[in-house]
This record gives sequence, C-alpha cells and structure tokens, in this order.
Amino acid sequence: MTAAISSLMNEVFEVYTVFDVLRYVDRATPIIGEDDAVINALVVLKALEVPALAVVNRRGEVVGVFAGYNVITLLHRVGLTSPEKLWAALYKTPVYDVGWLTLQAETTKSLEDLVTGMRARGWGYAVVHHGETQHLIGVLDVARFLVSSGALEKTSLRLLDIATGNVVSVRRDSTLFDLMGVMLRRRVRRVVLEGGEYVITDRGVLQYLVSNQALEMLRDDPAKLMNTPLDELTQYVGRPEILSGDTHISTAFKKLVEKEPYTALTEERKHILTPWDITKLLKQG
Amino acid sequence: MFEAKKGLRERVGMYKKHNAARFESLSSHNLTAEELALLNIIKSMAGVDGLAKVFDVNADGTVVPLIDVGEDSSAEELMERLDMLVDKGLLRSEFDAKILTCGMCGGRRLTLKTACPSCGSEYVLKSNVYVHGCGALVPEEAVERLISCPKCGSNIGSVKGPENGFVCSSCSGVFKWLRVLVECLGCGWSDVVENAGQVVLRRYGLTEEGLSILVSTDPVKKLVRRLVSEGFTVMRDVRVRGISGADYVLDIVAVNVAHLESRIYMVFRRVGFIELLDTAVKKLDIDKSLIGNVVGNVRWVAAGPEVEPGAEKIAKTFNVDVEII
Repeated sequence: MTAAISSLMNEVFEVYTVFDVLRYVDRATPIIGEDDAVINALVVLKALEVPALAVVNRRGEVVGVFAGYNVITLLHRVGLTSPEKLWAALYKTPVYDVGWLTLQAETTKSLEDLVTGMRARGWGYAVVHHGETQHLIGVLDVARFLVSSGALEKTSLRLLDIATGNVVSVRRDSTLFDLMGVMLRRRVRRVVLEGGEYVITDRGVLQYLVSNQALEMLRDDPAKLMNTPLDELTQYVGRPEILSGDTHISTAFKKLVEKEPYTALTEERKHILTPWDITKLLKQG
Repeated sequence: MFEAKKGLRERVGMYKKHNAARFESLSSHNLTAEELALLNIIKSMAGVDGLAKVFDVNADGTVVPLIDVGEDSSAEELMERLDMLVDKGLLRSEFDAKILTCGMCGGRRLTLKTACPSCGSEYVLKSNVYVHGCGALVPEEAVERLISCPKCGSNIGSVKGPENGFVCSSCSGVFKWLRVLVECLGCGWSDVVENAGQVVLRRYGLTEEGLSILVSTDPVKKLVRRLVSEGFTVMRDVRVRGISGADYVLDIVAVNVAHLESRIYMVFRRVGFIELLDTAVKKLDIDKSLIGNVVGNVRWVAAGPEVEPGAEKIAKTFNVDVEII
C-alpha cells in the first residue's frame, strides 16, 4: 500500500496546487466576526444553510473556522456543569472562544504541502489567499477535486487500504448529550448509529440545533434538549454509502462526495471512509 | 468570493455605527392616535410665537376648551392629556392667564373690594404718606402739624416721601397696602382674595421633538405616524431584558387592543441580511410576556425605507416580517 500511496503522491499531490482545488470551490463562505456571540453565528448558519463560517478579525482577516463541532464543544462544556446556563452561554460566548484556528495557504502552494499541513495539525480547513480575496477550502473540497480531476484513478488503492477500522458508533437510545460527548472524546465529526444504517454528523446536530423547535427548547428547557433521544433526530441523520471493502478509492470517493453525510461504510460496517481519509493518500513522514 | 463577504463585514461595522448614533434623539414614551391628533391641532392653531390658546374661562367660571374635544371628554381631561404630552417632551407650555373664581360656587363673576387691614372697614381712602426713619407711616396732612414722630417720638423732619398709601377713616390707621376682598355676584360669597379659587391657563406649542413627530422623515417617526393613524398605541425605545440576561432596546412596540394585535419593530435605514439576523437574535431571546402592554398575536417586524432583495426569504426563516417604511 505504501508504495502505491507514494506513487500517487508523486504524481498527483506534487503536480497540483491549491489554485487547482480553488477552481472547484464555487461556493462563498459567509463570515462572522470573532467578537460576535455564538448565537449570531448560529442564526447565520440557519439562514444560509451552510456547514461552516469563516471567522474574521476586526481587520477582516480570516483567523478561524466555525462549524457545528464548535457549537457542540460549547454546549457540551457548559451542559456538563450548568445546563441551565446554556442559553446565556450562546449569547455571552464570543465566537473567538470556541472557533477553530485554521491553516493559511497561498494558491501557489502544492497540494502536498496543503494536505500535509492539514494532517499535521488535524485541521480540516485552510484559508487560501488569492490576491485581495480569501477563500476557505476543506478536505471535502480536496476530495472533490481529486475525484473530478480523475487523479484517484491513477492508483490501485481500494477502500480498505485507507478507510478507518475503528468505527465510532452510538446506541439509538442515546441522548443528544451522549452523542456530543462521544464526538468530543473520540474527536470525530461522524458517528454511526447502532445498526450501521445511519450516520449523524456534527452538521446534522447543528441543523437540529438551529431548528425552531430545538432553539426554543434550548431557551426554555435546555436540560430537556440535551436529553433528546437520538431517535427523534431521524430527520437530521444521513444514509452512508455502503460499499465493498474492495471498491476502488476513486469509486468510493466519487460516491462519498456526492451527498451528505459524506461517509462510506463497508458492508460489514467495520470500516468507515470520510473526506479526512483523503489525507492518508500522502506518504507519511 | 470573500470580497463580497468583506463588504458584508463592512456593513456590519456601518450598522453598528448607525445603531450607536441611532436615528434622531428618541425619548421613551408612548403615543396614541388621540395624542397625535392633538399635536396636529396645536400645530394648526399656533400663532407666530408657536403657541396656541387652547382654553378660556366662561362667565360661570368654567374652563372651556377652544378646540373640539368630543362630547365624552372634558376640559380637565384635555388639560391632562396636554400636560402628559408636555411631560413626554412633545409639547411645551407657557403661562397665559390666571382667572380668579368664587370660593363657593366657582363662578368667575367676582367684584373686588378693598378694606382696612386692621379693622376691616371699607371706609379707607387713598392718601399720600411719608415714611419716618423708624418705619412709621405718617399721612400727608399730619406731617405739617407734627413736630415729632407719633411712633418713636424723635424729630419728624427726617421723613421721606410722599408715597402712595391709605388712611382708614374708621380706625385712623395708615397703610401702604389694603386687604383685598372678592365678592361673587353669582352666590354672594365674599372673602379675602387669598381664599378665592384660581384657574391658571397655559398656552401650548410643539417642541422640536413634537414637531418632528408630525413632519420628520426619520424612519422611526414616519412609522410611528403610520401606526398611530392605523389605531395602534405606540411605545418607543422599550427596554427589555432577554432570557440570556442581555439588555435590548426595541425601537417600537405597537399595540392595537381593539384588534388584539401587537407588533415589535426594529427599524433600520436598510433592511438586509445583517439587520434580519440582529432582529432574529433579539426575537429568540425575548419573552414577549415581559414586554409591558402587548396583547394578542405578537409579530416581529424589521422595517426600513429600503429592503434588500431576498430579505423576505431570510426573514421567513426566523418568522420575522419585513415592512417598507
């Protein structure tokens, strides 16, 4: 496998640049000020139905990323000790306190450097400076680019070669608070629901949290919201692609990037493929 | 991509700036349709000095309004409403006249009488008087005859005068001032003037704030005029604490009791994405039952002279209405 991955790295990652990926990133990333409260970020995410916001400082420079995982981090942290203060926390916590830092990259940087940086820091987003403008690209964008460019077809890698074997799952009768705890402890954004038919992501949790029903519950009875059984979140879970472990990675990623939850599971449900696994195509070290 | 969004960010800054400056000076009060009509009447009646005479007193001593206040309303109620508008800073008032009235029947047909402050006799005549150094008053006709002051006994030559004064023919007292009596021609009541009733009339005029309510093109004031004419009672700059503990100022709270409808307005120069998010964040945090006087169905409205394309769609996401002022 290592040899195959090295080969791909040499042929693809060194040839392409960040600029090549940028051409495939056709969506605008809304921004939020680092001093704005988390509730402001939530209403922007709700209004625009986007997965993430770029966090900017007072000079308009992108300094971080704010996504569902950050909301989960805040809610779980406060919910552990003072669930009654959850609503106030949304209004009083600045985005800066919970947002992620992000990589900075130039368009001329090689794809190899970009992905190496992402993998080294464990950050799935990077800010790309292109002239006067700034763009936010994530590992999903990199995966989409590699699928579209046909680069993945140049390797003989199968899904099992790069998929993660340790599938994180939760019982269906777990609560939302339990799920948040699992995501944070295991440092994953995708959790498989018991049975392997559904995957819930941090974005799915976010979509639920910004629904009118959940927002009102968070305001009026936060403990009840945190104890919501996952069974009640069926609207916000997604069906993963179920693929054979022998599926070629070009096919696997092609299916994966098509729709949420951007996840593939092997038929035995023992391996999971996510956009992050695209970083494994780089030679280690 | 981000260039467009940088513009958005800049607009956030502008929004915050204009929010800090707010529109024109706003005071916290409410306004009803009747009060708005009153302001209009005062404006139309005002003279060159900007003041209107709104009341007079008839022969019976009754204060009568010089404007139509309707059959069910009284001059006292009108006066209360006008004074309330003065308290709200929309009207100013100045002294016009003081009318004395009978202490018994309240009538204004009074005659004045003067009497001796010492014995009460009305037989008191005007006379020039001189003032001695000790303070004694000496009638003119006595000055030439006396050689010493009748009060202190010293030489009379040091008197100053003459001044206007009075000499009582009954008790011979000499006075600078007389007791003033009033007698009612209606009921015959008579007493010293201090015990008479009095009605103070004031003239009313619009303050700058009151005038701006009627003619200003400021979006908040234009909206207030419209809402009031539609039958809403309008409260401006309503302060309320959110469930999160954050404090907010709501630009306008309009209540129509008859139709069981309330509206909470946030007013902007231009209603766009940022403004709607600002409204949504407040709406989520505010328990409408904590806003005084609201009744029935409560709608949140983001309003402004301009509305960005697509704003309605975003507004719908948060159950917020959009209105053009």
